[in-house]
Order: sequence, then structure tokens, then C-alpha cells
Amino acid sequence: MKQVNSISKYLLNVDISERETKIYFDAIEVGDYPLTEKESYILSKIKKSAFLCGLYDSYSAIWNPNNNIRKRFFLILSILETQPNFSNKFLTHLTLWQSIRIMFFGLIKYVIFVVLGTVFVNVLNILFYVNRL
Amino acid sequence: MLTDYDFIVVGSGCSGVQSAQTLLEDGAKVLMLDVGIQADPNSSIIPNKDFIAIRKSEHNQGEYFLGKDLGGVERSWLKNKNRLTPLLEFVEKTANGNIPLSGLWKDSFLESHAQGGLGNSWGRGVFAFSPDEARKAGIDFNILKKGYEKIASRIGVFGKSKMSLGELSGLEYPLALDKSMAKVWSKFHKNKMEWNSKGVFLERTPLAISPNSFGDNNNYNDMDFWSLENTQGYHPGMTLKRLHEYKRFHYKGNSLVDSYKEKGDIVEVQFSNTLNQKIETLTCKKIIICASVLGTARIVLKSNKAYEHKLPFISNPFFYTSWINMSMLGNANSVMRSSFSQLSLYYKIKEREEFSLMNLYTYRSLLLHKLIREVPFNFRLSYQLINILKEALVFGGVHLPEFQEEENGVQLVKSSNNATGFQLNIDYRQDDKRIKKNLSSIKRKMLSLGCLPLFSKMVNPGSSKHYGGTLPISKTPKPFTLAPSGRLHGSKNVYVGDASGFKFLPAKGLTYTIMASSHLIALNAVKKERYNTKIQLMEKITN
Repeated sequence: MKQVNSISKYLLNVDISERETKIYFDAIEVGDYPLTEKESYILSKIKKSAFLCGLYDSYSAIWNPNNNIRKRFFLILSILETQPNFSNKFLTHLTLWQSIRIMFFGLIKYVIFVVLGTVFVNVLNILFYVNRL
Repeated sequence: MLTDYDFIVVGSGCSGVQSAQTLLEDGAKVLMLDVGIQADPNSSIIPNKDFIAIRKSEHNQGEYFLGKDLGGVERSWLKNKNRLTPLLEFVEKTANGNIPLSGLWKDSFLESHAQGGLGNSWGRGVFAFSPDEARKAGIDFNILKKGYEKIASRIGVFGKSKMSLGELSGLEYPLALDKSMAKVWSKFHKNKMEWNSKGVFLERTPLAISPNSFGDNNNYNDMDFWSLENTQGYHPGMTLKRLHEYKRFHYKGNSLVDSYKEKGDIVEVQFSNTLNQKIETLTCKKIIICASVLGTARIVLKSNKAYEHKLPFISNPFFYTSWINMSMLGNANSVMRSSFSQLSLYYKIKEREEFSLMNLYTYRSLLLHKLIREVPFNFRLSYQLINILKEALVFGGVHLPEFQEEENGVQLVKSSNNATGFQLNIDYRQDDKRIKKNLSSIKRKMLSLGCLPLFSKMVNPGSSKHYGGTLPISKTPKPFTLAPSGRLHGSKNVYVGDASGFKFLPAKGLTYTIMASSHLIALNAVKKERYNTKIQLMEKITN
């Protein structure tokens, strides 16, 4: 539950219910969502916080956009889009000023997250290999 | 002459159902042989509401928007089949791996085994060939015109458009342009004369959305790509339902036609049951093959034991483009919106060339997460960006005209890789330079119309699903050609009702012309049959 909530918090800044969490886990069970050992380790670390999810996603959007953790993020995004509770997040019209503000701060935040994310993921990689030794 | 049926029609796609209707209206006893894979039963749980109401109220919408077990999400992630909604995936399902396709682009070409065939994924754009285009395709326009009129009366064709419908125009549009398309439209019309003098034409896309025949457009629901029930756009399943009302109509599903054999005045049709692979044979006076171009090629080549014989083959090159309509930034688009093409932009690269066509769509009912996946930022920013741009997004599907090229063709070849022992090999090359030229040409035009290019997506040859030319229409009887009546040269009672005969494919969508032509071919076949019966009766009386 916490894993899914951190990701949904990162994606849309929303808390999700048990219903969406169940849909997510059911889909993972029947679908093709494998994780490598390293990806499982990384997911176990980032699932605790929306901030860490953001750092990881910002890093991997550039360096490894098709990884399996991002595929799970995408699954949650698509589940959120097809839930009436969150439909407004996808259907509401934004004014020009709202749009400019969101994009301005969004882009700045993205650049910072890419830099921090690169450091963060490299640290996680080192920790993963150290733990394996 | 005792046969099981007067006519056997192969396939339930747009051409199959229209041929069958023509035959039934004339009093014939008709059997339709069809593999007939059906849509996911999920389609029956879709409520009869409009897209927005469903999005805001239905808790189980994921079951049909994302597909069974959310399988649609995986396909969107892979980016390879995100053109289709989960409901429409049944169009691409093949029956137990029967006669697989081979060749470099085998995954893009398609012989649909769905009930309703490729017609299920038709964008409902209605385009008639011009007299010149019909001549190049090998069809007499004056006759074809009658076919267009008949089909319009059956399915409901709406739109006034000189380029798309020519003199067949006349009816009003069922749906209004949304705000975004209205802005593009008005920008074009400010300099219409200048555009036209350069050979560029923008018209509203005529559509097969009928308020009279199949639905009520006062309550347009924008769910046509998700459901085959309670929608207003025409699809062949609507006609198939009507055919079942005729007592003389028989439908046999799970039947993959393998070949035919002419024995005197009788045609023996061999087909296999796709559930148990049992081979069966039925007889008829005449067969009309409407198995789509690849399916028909397979049946004709197999029946004539013409293994390794290369039939010519043409397919419209196709690619997607996306744009931001700058005048829509910060503005909300209309709530009442259609996911079908709203505007059709006709243009030429060179004056003496044929027209290319870009159909313009605004985006809503295919859901945003598919677009978010295309943006190269993190998901959070990609979501924000797409959410901001959603009202201003414009998509273009570009089709290029195509003539026969010598090197392109299909062959039925023996293969040890599958149970049937055969595969259909497609040898096809596409001129990528031509596509690039088209792309830069439309970029200039769209910029002048206030639309900034976002991204374009080249798709593999064959993705347009517009095929033709395998059995070209020919007045002189040559093997593997069709007489103008639709009869296969060298045969007595074998007719082909799909686009196999078209020697040229204009950039326009083919579905309307295929339906019109199949109606005319069925009419020819039934007239010929009536004539034969009269002669036989006369002979009996004289004897």
C-alpha cells in the first residue's frame, strides 16, 4: 500500500485507496512486470517516499527510460487515469497563467531532480554492490 | 444443378456484409463463411453514457479502457500497438496461427480474422474516388457512383466536401467542429484562395455517423473506439445484425476458407473449422471472396495451386504527426467532441503528382497516459506538460497515394514452420525519401495554420491497412486479374468483392469505395446468376 501511495503521491500528488492498490497488485501478478535483483533493491528504497520516487524517475527518464520500475510507475499512472476519483486531474482545463506557472516551476524542479537523482541512484548502485559482497 | 447455397460470401468485413446485403435484397440464398473472432466480452459492460460521464462516474472503466488484466497498459508501454484500444485488439487476432505472414514487415501487414474484419477499426472517414482516381484504379466511375449512392443510403454518409465526395456531396455534417479545429478552419479560410492556388485544400471530413440508421447524434457519446454497442459510427457488425433478419441468410463462424474448386456450374468451397481443424466442403453457384486483400490472395493462389507465383501488391504509405494549435493554449476545447477526423488537408508535393491527405484529429478519448509515455521527461513533468497541452493537441494521420511498383508483391510459399504447410510472403519496399518530403511540406503548411510541430511517428509499411492491387482489374483476360464485373478471369463463378482489383490507391481512405464496389460486384454476380437460370429454364422448356 505504502509503495503505491508514494508513487501516486509523486505522480499526481494524490493518496490512493485500497481499491486502486488492489488493481495495481492484481495487474502485477498476471502481467509482465518483472524486476531484476537491483531494481527490487532500488524499489525497496524509493517506495518509502514520493521525493525519492521523483529523484529516481528523473534520473532514469534520461539514462534508462524503459526500465521495469518506470513501467510500474506507468501502470499506476494509467490506473489513476481510469478512476473517477482522479478523473479531474486529467480532464480539468488549466488557464494560460496556471500552465505557465506549472511549467516554469516544473522545469526548474525537473533539472534539480535530475542532478540530485543522478547522485542518489549512483549511491544506491554502490550500496547495492556493497550489500552483495 | 443442386447446390447448398446460391452464393457463398467469404468474410464479414465491410465488403462482405455489403455484398451479402445486395444478394439478399435480390432474393438469393446466402452463406457467409467467416472466422469471426469476436470482441472482448468487456464491451458489453460499457454503459450507454458519453465519454466524460463514464470517466467521472464508472469505477470499473479500467476494465474496458485498459483491457482485460490491464493488458492495454503493457502494449502502450511497448509503444508498438498503442494505435488500437483494448476492444479493437480482436481485429488483429489471428485464428490459431493459420497461414502466417512472412517478410520483412510481416508484423505490420494484416489479414484480419475478426467478425467485421478491418472495418471495425475504420476511422469512419468517407472518401469517394474522383473520376480520374477511379480510372487509374481500373473502375468505371459512372458505375461506381451508383454504388456510392447505394452505400450512402445504407450506412448514412454525412458531409459536404468537394475533394472527398465530389458531386456526391449534399448532406449536412452530423457533428460540429470543435473549437480547436474551428480555429484552424477559420485561419485557412482567411487565405483560402491563395491556399487553393497552391494546390492546398482544407475540407471538413465526411463521416459515416448516422443519426437515422443506427443511432442518435443529439447525444453523441465519443465512445466509438471503445465500444461496438450504443455508438453512432458505422461498423460492419451493424449490417451483419440486419442480415440475420433475412431467413435466406446463413452465417457459419469459425470457418477459415482454404480454397475453392469449380466443377461445371458449381463451386465447391473448402474450409477448415478453426476450433477443431476439421475440413469441410460446401457448394454454391457463385462465390464472392471478400476476405480482405491478403486473405483473398491466399485463397486464390491456393485454389489455383500457384505456389511461388508473385501477385502485385500496393499499400498506402502512412505516418502520424502531432501539433500544438497555438491559438488554443490557455483555452478550453469544446466539451462535445469527436475522436474521428474533423478536417482533411489535401496537398501535392509536385504539381503533376497525386494528392496526399492529412486527416486532422483532436485528442481526448484515447486517454492521456499513452501520450505521457511519449514525452522524454520524468512522469510528473510529462503529465503536467500533456495536461496543459491536451486542449491544444492536434494529430494528423497522413496517407500518401500509391501506384503499383514492380518489386512489391505477395507469394504463397510452402513452409514447414506451421501446420498448414503454407505462409504468405510479403515483399514490400517503401520510399522513405517520399515520406520525409511530405513531412517537411506539411510542417510548413501547418505552421502557417498556427500549429507547431510536436513529434511525428514513422510507422512500418503496411500499417495503413490500406491494401490493393493483387488481382488488378483488366479488360483483357489475363491470369490473376479481375474482369470489370469483379469476376476472376479464367473462372466462371468466382468473384472478388474487396480492394484486390484496385490498381491505384489514392491517399483517401478506401472503405467507402470498397463497400460501393462490393455492392456492384454482388449485383453483377446476382444478375449473371439470374440470366443463367433463365437460360437453363428456357433450355429445359425447349427440350
